[in-house]
Amino acid sequence: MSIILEVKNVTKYYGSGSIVTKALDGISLTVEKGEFTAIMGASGSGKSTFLNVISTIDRVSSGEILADGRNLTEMKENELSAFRRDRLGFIFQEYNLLDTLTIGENIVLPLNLKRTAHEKSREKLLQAAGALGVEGQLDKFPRQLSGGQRQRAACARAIITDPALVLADEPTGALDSANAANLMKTFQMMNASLGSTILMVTHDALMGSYADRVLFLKDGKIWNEVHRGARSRQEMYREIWSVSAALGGETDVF
Amino acid sequence: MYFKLAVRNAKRQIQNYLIYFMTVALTVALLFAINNIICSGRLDIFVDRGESAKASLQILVVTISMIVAFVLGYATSFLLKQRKREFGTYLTLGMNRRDILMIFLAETAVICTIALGAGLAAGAFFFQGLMAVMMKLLEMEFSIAAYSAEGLLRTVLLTGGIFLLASAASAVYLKRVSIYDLIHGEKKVEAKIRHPGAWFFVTMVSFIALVSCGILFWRKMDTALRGGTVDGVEFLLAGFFLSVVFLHMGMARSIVFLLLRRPKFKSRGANTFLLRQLSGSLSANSLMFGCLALLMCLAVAGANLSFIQKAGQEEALSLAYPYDIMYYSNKYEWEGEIPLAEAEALIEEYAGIERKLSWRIYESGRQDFYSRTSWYEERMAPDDSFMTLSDFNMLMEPLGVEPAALDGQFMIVCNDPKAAQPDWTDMVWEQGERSYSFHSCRTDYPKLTYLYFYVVVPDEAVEGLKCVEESRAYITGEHRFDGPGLRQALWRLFLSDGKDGEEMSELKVHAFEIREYARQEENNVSAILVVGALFASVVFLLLAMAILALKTLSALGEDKRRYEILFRLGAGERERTGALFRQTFSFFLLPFVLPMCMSIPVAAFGVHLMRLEQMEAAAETVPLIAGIVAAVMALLYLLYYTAAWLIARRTVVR
Repeated sequence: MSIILEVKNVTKYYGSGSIVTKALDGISLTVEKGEFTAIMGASGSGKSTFLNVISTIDRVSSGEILADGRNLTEMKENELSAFRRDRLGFIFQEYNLLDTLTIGENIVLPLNLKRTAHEKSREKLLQAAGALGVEGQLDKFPRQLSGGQRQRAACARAIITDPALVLADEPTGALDSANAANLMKTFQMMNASLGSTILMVTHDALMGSYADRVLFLKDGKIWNEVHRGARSRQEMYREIWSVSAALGGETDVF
Repeated sequence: MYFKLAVRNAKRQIQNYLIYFMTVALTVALLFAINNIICSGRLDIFVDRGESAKASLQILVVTISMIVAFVLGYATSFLLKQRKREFGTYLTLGMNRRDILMIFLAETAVICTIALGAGLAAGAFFFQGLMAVMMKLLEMEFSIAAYSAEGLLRTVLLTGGIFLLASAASAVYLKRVSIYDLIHGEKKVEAKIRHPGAWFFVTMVSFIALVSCGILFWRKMDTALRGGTVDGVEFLLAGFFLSVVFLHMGMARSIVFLLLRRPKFKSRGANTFLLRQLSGSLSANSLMFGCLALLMCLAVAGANLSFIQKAGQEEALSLAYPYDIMYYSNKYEWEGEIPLAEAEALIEEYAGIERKLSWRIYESGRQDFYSRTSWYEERMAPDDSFMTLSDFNMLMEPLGVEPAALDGQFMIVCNDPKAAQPDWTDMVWEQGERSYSFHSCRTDYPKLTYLYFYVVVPDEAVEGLKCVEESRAYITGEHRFDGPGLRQALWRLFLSDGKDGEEMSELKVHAFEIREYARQEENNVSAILVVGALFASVVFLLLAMAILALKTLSALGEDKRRYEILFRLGAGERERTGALFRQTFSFFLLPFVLPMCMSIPVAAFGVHLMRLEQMEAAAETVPLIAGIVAAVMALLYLLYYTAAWLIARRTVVR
């Protein structure tokens, strides 16, 4: 499998003068195409900062990030915007659907920004909405949908451009447990059937157990790594739980 | 403690306070200028009716101040709502509502005080500018006018009053709002627009109604100026007002929705996002757009018409008063004689008599001519009046008018356009043994008499008619002289000469039409009219722009969140900046287009008006006036839009 994301010795500082916080401390990792990776860690461990620098909405202080064969740290602002638009898909905790747009308009927005022809956009919209089971909600506004439906619409928006990498920031944070489990199954489906490469940040061990690989961050460094391999989800969950306990972070339980 | 906290908060919130500051400062500047004019001793000197001018301006100032208070009340509550989360937190920490209100009022008071200072400084220049305009209108030489302490005090008191009234809305809001609403925001669900097609229909109907009202108004005014009877103008104006409001409501509630139905258009770039952003803000504010557009239309019409009136004044005066002084011996019925020799001595003293022309008016004692007019039907017709051709040509010669040749016919000269309405062509006037046929009916000769019309006939035709008036026209050595002074001197002369008291003296003075007196009278009226209209128009525009700017800024919190999502989805800075520009510009532009376009029909109407009144030179000035008014409007628009745009870009596009 080819490498889709390569992070080399990335460091990120916040603040200036005497008050400087080192949010990321020399992180290196690779993500292969078609992988479903979760990043876990306690609050303040640097997982959101890590996702922000990979998603190009924040810059690194040093190190390199290569995504889809391109060095993100050397790209200019407008190139980064185009890269985000064309090669990355986003799923956020608060869905981040635009409340003024219909679900259909929300899903197709990345293609509009890419100036894809209307007919092609329509075709892709129906495909993505169909895959995520929101094809019946296209003319509704986000406020008319349940949390689970909204998050599935956000997933459809994330995959409509066939991105190289789907980034999810606490995607189950605003969902109840049933909807959270359904969303994780959707992620698995996106990963297995649609071939999406997913990098998900979560602090929930149960959600992490759906991933192929879980990276644990502590104080801005990768502290541990757990691979599913041939293990079941329950076994994976137990492993994550024990690593989390050793990590000393707070994790949710059933 | 409040003051310290207020200063610190005001510094921190400077961006939010910018529009508020600009509006208060500009309003104070205008109030200071107009109050100084009201309190200026010069108003009494320049304007004969100083007291009534003062009263009119004071009423205007108080009315405008109340409107300003309303708008600033809106602005203050906008500022309060911008920071409701902060104030909600204070409440949860145990502060009481009174403390919070005091902090907030202290902040706005700090801003108001700074704006008052800035406004007074700007007002010092505005005052000199307005005085220069007034002195120009009054044909006086400009000199730096002295400031009045009373004007300053009035401005400070009015500003204080406006501030207190404006703060009342915030006090009521703070008293009633729940802590939950302050922290979490009121749950506002955007109302979905129903039937955009129907609203588009309303737009079209309103547009047609607007144009129809304009055309009908034009025609009615035309008829009125030609002496016809006009009714129903008030319905036309009401129709115009309603059309403007409904046109904007319809546009705001339909156009964006109709564009959203064009899939190819909306799928281009950030168009869907932009249209949805606009659809919410436009439909929620549709009534406001209608009211603001109406306010600005009135400002445009008021400013234009007052200037147009001024532009036509000189020519109108020349037509109405072709000679420097006219004396009509039979204008009114009075007791006793007018001491004409002494009166002429006074004219000589004040202006010098260069030439004196005597002429006569004859009456037949019949109503052969009047019987064809509406005055006859209304039982208001006097006997027919006649002037000889030689008298007529003698009076026209110094005015540079071609002498008339009648070839034994008669000519009707109309002073009132109603006299031109009957068909005179078949009229044959029998006088003695002779009969005279119709030659022409003229409305374009300078006004020589106060009669509705008179008939110019060959000299021999007046034989046997009764001479009822021996009048005089004077060409004075000085064309610019102290007209009011001469009038006053004549009044004193008649008072001392007769035994009939002030009333009869006043009547006798009216027998003399003094152009310089009329000019100064009209100057007084037009100075007040122009300055008042200018003041009201600028304040209306200022407030309209302030409301638009505040409305734009009030949505920035939500806009910021939405544009952030757009950023994450890969919209570059240029694309987001472009979308934000189109969003804010469209919002600002919608109520502004019609008033700007109104300049064109208003100017065309002005030109038509001037041409009807035979004022060619004034007609040529009208487009320039309309252009200047439009340019000032555009300047104010740019000032507010630029401020709002810079704040919006800084807040929304990172």
